[in-house]
Amino acid sequence: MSLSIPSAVINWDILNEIISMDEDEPSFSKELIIQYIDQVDTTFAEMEHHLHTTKDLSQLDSLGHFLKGSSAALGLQRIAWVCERIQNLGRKAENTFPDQTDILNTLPKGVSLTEEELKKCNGDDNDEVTSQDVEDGENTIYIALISKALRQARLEFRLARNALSEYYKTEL
Amino acid sequence: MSTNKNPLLSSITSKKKLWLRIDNCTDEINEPISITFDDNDSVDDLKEKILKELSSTRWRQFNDKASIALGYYEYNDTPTKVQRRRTSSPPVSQSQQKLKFQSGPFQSNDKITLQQPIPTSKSNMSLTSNMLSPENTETSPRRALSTSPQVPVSSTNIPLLRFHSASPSINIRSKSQRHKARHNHKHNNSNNHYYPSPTGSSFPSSSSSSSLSSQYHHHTRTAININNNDSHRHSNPASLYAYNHHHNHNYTFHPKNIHNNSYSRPLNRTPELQTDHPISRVIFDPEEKIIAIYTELFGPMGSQHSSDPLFIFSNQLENPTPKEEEEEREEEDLKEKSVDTVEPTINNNEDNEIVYGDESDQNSRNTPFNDNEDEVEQGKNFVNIHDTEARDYELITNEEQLRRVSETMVGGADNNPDTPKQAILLLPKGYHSDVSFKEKTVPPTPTPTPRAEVETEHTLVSPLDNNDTFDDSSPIQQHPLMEQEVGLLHPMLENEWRKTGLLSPISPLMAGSITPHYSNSYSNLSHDALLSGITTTSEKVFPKINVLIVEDNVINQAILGSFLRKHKISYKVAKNGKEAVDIWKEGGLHLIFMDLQLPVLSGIEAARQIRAFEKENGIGIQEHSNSLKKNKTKAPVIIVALTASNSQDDKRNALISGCNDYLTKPVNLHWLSKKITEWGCMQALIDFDSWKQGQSRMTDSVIAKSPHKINPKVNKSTASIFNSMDKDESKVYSNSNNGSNNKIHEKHKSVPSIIVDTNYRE
Repeated sequence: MSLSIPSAVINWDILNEIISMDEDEPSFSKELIIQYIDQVDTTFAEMEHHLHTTKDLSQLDSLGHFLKGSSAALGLQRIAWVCERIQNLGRKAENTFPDQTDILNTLPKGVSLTEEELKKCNGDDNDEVTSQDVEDGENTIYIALISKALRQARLEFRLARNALSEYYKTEL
Repeated sequence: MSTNKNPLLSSITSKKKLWLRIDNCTDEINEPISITFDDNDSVDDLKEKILKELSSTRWRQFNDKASIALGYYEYNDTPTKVQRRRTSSPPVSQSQQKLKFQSGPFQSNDKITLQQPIPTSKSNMSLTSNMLSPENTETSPRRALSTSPQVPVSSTNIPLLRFHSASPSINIRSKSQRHKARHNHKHNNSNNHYYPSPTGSSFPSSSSSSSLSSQYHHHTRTAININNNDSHRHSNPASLYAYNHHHNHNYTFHPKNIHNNSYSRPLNRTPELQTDHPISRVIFDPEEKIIAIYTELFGPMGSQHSSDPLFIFSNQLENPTPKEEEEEREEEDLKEKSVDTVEPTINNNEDNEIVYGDESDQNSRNTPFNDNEDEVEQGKNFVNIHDTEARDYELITNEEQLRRVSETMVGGADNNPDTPKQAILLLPKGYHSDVSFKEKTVPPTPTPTPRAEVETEHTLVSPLDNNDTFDDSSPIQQHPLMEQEVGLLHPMLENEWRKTGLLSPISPLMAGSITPHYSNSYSNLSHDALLSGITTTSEKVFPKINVLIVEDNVINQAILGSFLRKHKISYKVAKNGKEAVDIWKEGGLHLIFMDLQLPVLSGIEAARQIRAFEKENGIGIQEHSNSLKKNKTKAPVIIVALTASNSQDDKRNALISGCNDYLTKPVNLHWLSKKITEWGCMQALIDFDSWKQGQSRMTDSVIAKSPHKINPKVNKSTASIFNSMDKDESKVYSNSNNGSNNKIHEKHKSVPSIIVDTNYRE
């Protein structure tokens, strides 16, 4: 599948609209971002939960949709893209997910993650392992793909946080 | 749309009627209309009839009694000029003062045809504006404009130009001016803030957004005109100035009876000053009896043909732009011709006008004709723009010069009442013409064609606000009226006018109330109210409506909510379809932004339920209005779906389920505001009463231009309004519906700040 993922981590056209509202409500955008970060953490955990326990694709679908909405609204288009993949995988509307390196290659020059960050995102739980129980059902392949997508989402999230931290000159 | 009355219908009747056509009308169809009048009708009466007659037209929207004048075109043709313009017309007598009517000419591409010389003596037309005005509005299609030298001016003009075009009638004769002046007066008196303040284009002083200004154009004009009132003649220079710009000379006829022309002060007629102007606009005094005018101009009742209507000069301007070029081209042609044929007849005194542009401020508006020193503009610098060229006008920028000029004018003029007077045209601050002054001046040719003159008029610029000199380099600054913007402001402003009663253009009050102090009021008005009003951008003006955001994601809620707060639009938030339906049942909503994929109850389903309830309860159907809760919005709510990026299915389903429109996510705030404006205005029209309740608050905030941040107080006030609007129902609702949803609603109402709902995954 061709990588239609947007190159830039942040679509500033969109984010700037939000930032422009700081005029009326100071630090509106920053608080919103912080709120978003919390939301992402929560949602990722939720996804993780479903991946490992319920394996409920429709839940993953909605979670993907949910996170896609806020990510896109903030201009975090790469995360939104990955979330859309998760959503579609949850609906079984797609059945592939590109490799991590391919996706990371689409990043603009100068944007990258450190080894440490990569490791951290990919790290702890090796979701690849979950593909063991293929026999559990036809959903397994989707679960595996979503796991893969989720790792990618974490990477993208890290990238976005880095970019946002840079913008706000704070560690977010 | 302007005046499409079928002339044939009324033409044959024996009643007294007058043919009128809207001058400088931009509409494609602009046929003469006939209006019947009584013996006692004055020009003003006729105007009311005209407005009534044209009430359904678009033209009417831009014009009120104050902004229109009745009159006709007078051709002061020297033979040469006639040739110049159009060979077909029989050469009129050389005296400038003979009047001819141009009726058909405008329409036809032919150069102006002069029709019916006016019987009145060459000296001042005895007819005052009144005579003609009663019934007629003259309309000349744009086309016509282009063909006739004068017309082009107006058409070419942007708002400012318009101004001129509209004003032209006012020009020379004070009476004509006065005619307008009165109208202005009225406006001034009203001090209506809502009154369109001069837009940037028209009034340079106001930074205003062009769009707004366009709407107000006529208003501004009128305001300017006010100064011209005869009664106040001392005080109102501005209007005069403006008018002077138009080289078209407007002569008012002073009916014999009306001889007290306090207004008209003879201008100096130095040979230089007067150039020949082939065409002059003659405007009738508002008090003039139509019957007298008719008799004077046409003879016995029934003599007038639809082909030679009187003209309704109005301020209306629509986007003249496209035609400008044509006109300019024509101008060029004319110029060339004129050069060949025209001999230096420059000496005709009467045509030349001196224009005083005041660059400073309001003061400038006060002084035109007047002897009154008090009224003399202050701090204007006098500039004679055309030193070497034929002087069509002079630019005065300081008080001293103004005084000097006015004295001269006064001194010389009175002697000969019959001759057209010179006028002082007050230009608004920051006046920008579309043509730079210096660059486009009247061609050295002794007698420029009318068009050329027109062009020069455009070039005059005197910014009132700043002492800035003209912007020579500034290219054409046209601010064509944007339809959309018109729609935006119009309802509000109109409404406000009506509400306050300040402005009822047609109301007799306006006519009667001429305050001596108009100048002050005017200045106050323009600076305080008008300008502020104008400067508000359309972006900031949103209909006062209640919006429901249905969105499960708090981030998106926050963004939409912040946007709405920013624009002071009250809103509620629902985080799923069920909440949305419940809140909707409380009533008072105008607009719902509905996310489609929602927990508990999808947006699609929620929309469906809402439509079902509406149908069930007869909402949107008048007959059933009693059946339900009283406070409920009787108009169906507008539902705008927020659909996923490219999903055609979503869009289709949304529309099928009863949504009126959709926006794709992520929601572009620009589009969001467009939708709010679009649908909100529609709702405001449909459900005027409930919309009106919030009106004052919104306009206050807008006009006050207090950029107060949205703080809890503001929010509370909106919330309280909200509550008051549907308190009955909300009680009912809260009683009947227990549960978390209600709590959430209450929270939204009282604390409209961003709702951070951590329970988004319920």
